[in-house]
Amino acid sequence: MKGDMNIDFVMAIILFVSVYAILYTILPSATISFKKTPDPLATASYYFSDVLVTTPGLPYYWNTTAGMTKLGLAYGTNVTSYPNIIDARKIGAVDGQSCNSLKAKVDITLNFSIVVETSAKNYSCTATIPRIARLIERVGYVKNNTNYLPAKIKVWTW
Amino acid sequence: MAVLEVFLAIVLVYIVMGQIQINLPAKYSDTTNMDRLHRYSHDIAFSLCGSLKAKRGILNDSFTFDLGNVLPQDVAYRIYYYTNDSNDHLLDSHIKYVDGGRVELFYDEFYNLDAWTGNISSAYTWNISSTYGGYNASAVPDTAAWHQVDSDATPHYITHAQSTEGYTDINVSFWFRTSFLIDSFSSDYYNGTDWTSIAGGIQTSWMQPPIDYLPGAASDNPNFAIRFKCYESTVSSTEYCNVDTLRITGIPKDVPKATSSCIIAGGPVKSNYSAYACDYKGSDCLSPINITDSNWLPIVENENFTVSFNPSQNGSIVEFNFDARNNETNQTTLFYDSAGNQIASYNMTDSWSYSKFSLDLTDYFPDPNGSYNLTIKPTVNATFDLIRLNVSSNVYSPAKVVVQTWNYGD
Repeated sequence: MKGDMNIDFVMAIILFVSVYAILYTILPSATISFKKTPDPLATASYYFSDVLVTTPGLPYYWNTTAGMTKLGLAYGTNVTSYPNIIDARKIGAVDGQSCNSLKAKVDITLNFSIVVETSAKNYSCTATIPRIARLIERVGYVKNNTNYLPAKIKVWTW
Repeated sequence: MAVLEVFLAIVLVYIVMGQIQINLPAKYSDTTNMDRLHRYSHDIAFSLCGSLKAKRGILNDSFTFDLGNVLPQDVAYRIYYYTNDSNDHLLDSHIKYVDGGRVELFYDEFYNLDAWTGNISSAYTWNISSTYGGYNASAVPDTAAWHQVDSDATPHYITHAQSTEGYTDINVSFWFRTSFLIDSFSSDYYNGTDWTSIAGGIQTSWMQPPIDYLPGAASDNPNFAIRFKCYESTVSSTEYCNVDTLRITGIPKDVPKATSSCIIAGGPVKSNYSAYACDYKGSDCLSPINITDSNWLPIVENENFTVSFNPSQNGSIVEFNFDARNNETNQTTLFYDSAGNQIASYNMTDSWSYSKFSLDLTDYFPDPNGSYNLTIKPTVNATFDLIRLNVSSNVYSPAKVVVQTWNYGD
């Protein structure tokens, strides 16, 4: 009959409104639609890339990974460091090493890989980079004695 | 019940979807664009300051800075520096652009001269030529079998007015060539008041003059114009000028830019500082300001003496130069900063001949308004008479290097 309402429909409406009201009150996330989560790697990744390009590591004159206690690639002395000037001896020592073997000498818990590209040579530690890795690109120079080569420094973290 | 089931399904889906947090896996994702630009600005600035510092170099007119191709092609950059003379300086001849950062305001391959006014399309004036490959603007009569520019001693111009309103860092590029004996060829730009030369000269094969950008008066200027001038004062049958492939580009002034800066010694050299040396007792001091060859400083063996200095201005002492001599060979002299930290050592091996050495003190005494003591301690365990110091210094006012990066197309 025209004007009659199906009891199921009424029940469904009541049920829907009730459930929605309850959820709206106790479960705010139910009212929030699709969203992208913050990148949990961003801060640590940027920090790590900054440490690499701006600090000389420990000791400041290290030129073998065996003699290095903290990883930093910048040219420096015991008094000062030269941000974004990569010491060719340091990145040369890292070249070909397993990135994983350097993990104990960094102060982040992430996995990482490093590539330094210049017009003369590319340097990298070895690692299989997963698809989800975060890539931070930096620019600077590689200092080899008195030569300064423009360099692109790529740091992946995951 | 079917309707109820549908609604329950909707509710269920709504709840589930509401709690979903979507992670979109992207291969090697980066941070936001502005984060990225800020990082590049920071890196370029610190690369510049770091390399200058490592080279003990000073920012000056002959300095060149090249990042090669390490920046992505969608990122443009420019570098300014400021010194404490209150004048803003742009690294005129050293600014580098990535091509993508510029917008083309005018482009002409000279298939015709429709965009130009001036001495056009009559004998001995500018016209279109294909003599030297393709089409170009040529200051020759178009019907002549040979080239002749001018027989009436009047320079011939072609001019193109091009507003640069809304754009900065205007760049002009073009190719030109001339005959060997042409009197002159030049290109000029107009700032609304005066014409200023850009490039010119005699060039017997095609060349592109290196012009990085035009001064600020060319920027954001509705009256901007460019002209070419060809001039031959004597009757000649073989003189000509050719111009081809002109581009006028600029950078939109409202493009979002990420800025970073650093400080480096780089301003004009200053000579106004005070320095004096005293022996270890602090009593036998040389006269302040100048420690010259005529002043001798008695030093007791293995005792410290100090050189005190105060830049007394907004400058930073970059280095001290010492001429020293003594009566012992193979002496090692140690240098300490104000806090007592050893900062250098120097071995003097030849007695009674001057040893020249210098110390870069920028890192140790960074405050240009501070007062400092440089302590010098000969370590040889033997008697020696004197060490003579001839202290000179180069004092440079600090320069602030500013780097901006932006994206093409923003």
